[in-house]
Amino acid sequence: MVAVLLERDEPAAVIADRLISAAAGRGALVLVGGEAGVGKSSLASAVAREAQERGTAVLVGACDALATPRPLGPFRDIAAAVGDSHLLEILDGAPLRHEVFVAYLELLTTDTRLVVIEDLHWADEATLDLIRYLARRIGSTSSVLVGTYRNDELDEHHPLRALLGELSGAESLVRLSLHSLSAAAVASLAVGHDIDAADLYRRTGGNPFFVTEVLAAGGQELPEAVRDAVFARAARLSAGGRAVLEAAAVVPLHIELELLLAMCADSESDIDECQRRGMLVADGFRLRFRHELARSAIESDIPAARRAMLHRQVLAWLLARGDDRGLARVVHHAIAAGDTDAVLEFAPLAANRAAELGAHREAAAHLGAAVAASEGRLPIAELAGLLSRQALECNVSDQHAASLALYRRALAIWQEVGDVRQAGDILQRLSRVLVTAGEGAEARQVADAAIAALELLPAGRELAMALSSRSQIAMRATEYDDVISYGERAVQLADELGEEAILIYGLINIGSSEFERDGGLAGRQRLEEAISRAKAAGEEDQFGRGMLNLGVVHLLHREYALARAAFDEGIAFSEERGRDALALMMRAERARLDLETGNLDAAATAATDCLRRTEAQDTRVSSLTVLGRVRALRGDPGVWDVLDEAAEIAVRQVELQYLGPVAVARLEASLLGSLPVDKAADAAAATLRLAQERGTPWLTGELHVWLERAGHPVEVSTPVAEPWRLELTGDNHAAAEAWRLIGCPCEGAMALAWAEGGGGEDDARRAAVEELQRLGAHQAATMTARRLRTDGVRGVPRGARRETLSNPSRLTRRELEVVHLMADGLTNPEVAAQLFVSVKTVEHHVGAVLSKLGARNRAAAVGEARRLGYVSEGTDATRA
Amino acid sequence: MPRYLIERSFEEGFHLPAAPDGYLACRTLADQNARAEVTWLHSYVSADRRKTFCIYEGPSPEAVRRAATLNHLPVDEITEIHVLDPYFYSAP
Repeated sequence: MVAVLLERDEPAAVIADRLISAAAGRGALVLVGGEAGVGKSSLASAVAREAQERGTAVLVGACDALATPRPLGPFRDIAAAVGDSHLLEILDGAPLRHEVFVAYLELLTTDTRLVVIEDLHWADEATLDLIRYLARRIGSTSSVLVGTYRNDELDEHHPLRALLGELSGAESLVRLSLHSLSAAAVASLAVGHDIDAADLYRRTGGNPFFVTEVLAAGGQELPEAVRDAVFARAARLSAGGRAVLEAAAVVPLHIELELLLAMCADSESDIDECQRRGMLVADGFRLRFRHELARSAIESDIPAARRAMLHRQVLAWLLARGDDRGLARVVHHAIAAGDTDAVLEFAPLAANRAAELGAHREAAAHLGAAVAASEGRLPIAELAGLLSRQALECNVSDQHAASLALYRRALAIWQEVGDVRQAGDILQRLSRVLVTAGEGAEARQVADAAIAALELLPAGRELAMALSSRSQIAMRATEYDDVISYGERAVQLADELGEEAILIYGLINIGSSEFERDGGLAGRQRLEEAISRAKAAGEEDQFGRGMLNLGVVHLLHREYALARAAFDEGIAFSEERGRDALALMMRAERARLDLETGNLDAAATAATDCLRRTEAQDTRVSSLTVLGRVRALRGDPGVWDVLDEAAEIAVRQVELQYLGPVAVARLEASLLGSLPVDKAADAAAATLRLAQERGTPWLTGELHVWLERAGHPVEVSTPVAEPWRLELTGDNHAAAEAWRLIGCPCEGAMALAWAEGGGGEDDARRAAVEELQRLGAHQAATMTARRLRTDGVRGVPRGARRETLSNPSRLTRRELEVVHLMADGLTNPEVAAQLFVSVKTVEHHVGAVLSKLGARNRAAAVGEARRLGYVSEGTDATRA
Repeated sequence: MPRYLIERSFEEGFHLPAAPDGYLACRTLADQNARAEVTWLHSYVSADRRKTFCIYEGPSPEAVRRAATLNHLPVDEITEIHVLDPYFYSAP
């Protein structure tokens, strides 16, 4: 056994360093990736040991290799390890996600702890959600969370990969990759073994687990693969030892000693042998393999019939003992034992539990197992029920295609049986999934079919749901009359039935539509009433949806302060409760707000962040449109990559709320890029017809103006919002002034940029160039300057693209501290000691100070800091 | 990962401090680039030192701009580019 960790000093030091910062209130998430057997766990335990010696509390949890992992498994381990009865109670009760999340955040905040979560590549959805939640806040906790994962197990669609993408770039995230050992390190391990070190290195590729297995197995013959090394080592066990090893191998993570003894009677000495030989490691009253690679190798080598028998023994023991480590474990062994009755009994229960904790992917998997086991064993109605539940869980966990297929299977069953109510209910659910999946046209047909079917029956909950779903579809298509007529029917029925949730849903739709159509106080009040009602009823999703709608309608009316307030509140509320999908939708809309109010940087950052974090079509189309506009305004590459994807989504969704902005963005980008505009203009004209039909003065005006600017005049008879109307009447000055009052500097400058040439207008156009430049809309500025020059105007701002360095010395507080100490003549190690940070960190700050102050060396930096008044005159820098 | 050419203007001319501060400045630059997830490959500087042409790899033009902001460097224009060399077409 290797006691020292070879070639792991650097990653260990990074984590130790982060623990020091954590103690000062700057926590971190450290993700350690590497291939299986490369020593991630060894590193984690070495760091944990060292931290423990220095008095830091260490908590360890692990994700397990069950076919469907335990919901929040590693966090449950941690709760047990802390012995925190409050945490365990929260987990075991009917938990509110929010409560669970907050409790763990508090755990990381109240004390400096090192929390290790192993094998994140097996994490369930709830665990990943909790880690995401913690990761976004860990910077202000006093703990370090270390997660290990196998990077070779992450395929493109692995949920952990999405999480890694989302978190990348965060200050408080550190990613470490462990590499295989060098030839020299392998040689040093091989000392004292009669083995060719070079051959050992070649064969094992320096994988530490592989190397130690080979060395432990002994013998001259070098195994081909890591499995062979494990087998060679196991082959040296007695028959009893081998039997123990196989029994232990069917239980992932660890096996209770009691269970092992139940499976292998009188095997104490054989268990001893396995431990002595280093194949099994004791962990309290449990045993585990030295490495998961060894366990899975041994398990896969057990003959099928014996393996099923072993699983049956585990299952019997778990059932006799009652539920402790959870239903997920029971289901795992029931499936492996081929016990379909047990699967049918326990998988749906495990699914409930998983869904309660927010592990919807796992809930869907459990239900899938039940469906698979039900073949010919369940009445058809029960099967349809399972299918429909699985479909629901798939939908919640973003597996839309699977959800659609399952609902269609369930629908076929109900239609065959002739149960109209059930079939109608499935149709309305199906329509909702179709909406989420971005299939707008089909969603509408299916919702209509649901209503038609359910109207044949006495009115009930299903019809109320179908009506409210239909109202929602109309809302997304900006069909105000339909929203209100279907919505009111839904509300009335829900009221009669006492269905508060459906009632609130309908009220939010109606309120949003009235507010969007009429503007003004009455519609807004109606929406705000619905939102308060949602809050009072604890309908978190409805509240978030209401805030989203409120913000979006304010944004449409260009009421920016109100829109921002709604988004800020909605985002904070939803993120606090881990409802990230809704929060992201609001973030995407807030990015649009940033763009319209002239903050291109913030808009681009937020849109990029949203795109990184979600595949949800709504959020993507908004974010892509914002990003495309920013790139077009700046003259950056990649405009059409994003605008093409946006157009694809918008066209599929056939919703004016997306078609409109996409059409504007494409026409604007064509004009700014000096590209042929005909295609974009045609699309804009078609969208304009739709906008007029629906009666949307802001969008109508925007499309109309852009078509005019593109030289494609159109006839518009419906009302147009004021600033657009002013430009259409040729009064670009007044339009610009209106935009200024509204808080839209970019639109204001653009209105001036497109003013007719001649006379006093030219000054305004010159000012527009400068304004666009200031906003960072370099391409728009360049294009305006070019048009001015074409018109023969002189004195157009030149070198249009130059970006000034605004605020060249924006030192952070920390950097200011460092400058002060530099001015006192302290060396980097002395500064480090003074600030309780590592020398490396100080070097980083000094580097930043030098670059921000544009100084060639420390003395010059101190001089510059004095000149700027950051440091008082008298201090001495000669020692630097 | 896409590659970009970034043109920058320096009215007062471009200066990199001498070693060891120059080393530190470069390392700070590299650290900030890492935060923005871009990699600086190399640059050309005009004879009068008033313009630089930098080749970067990065996920998006926004990342390139973010790196520039973090490093307090100006940006005139970003162009997505592909490598072309005299051996682009290999001999038959």
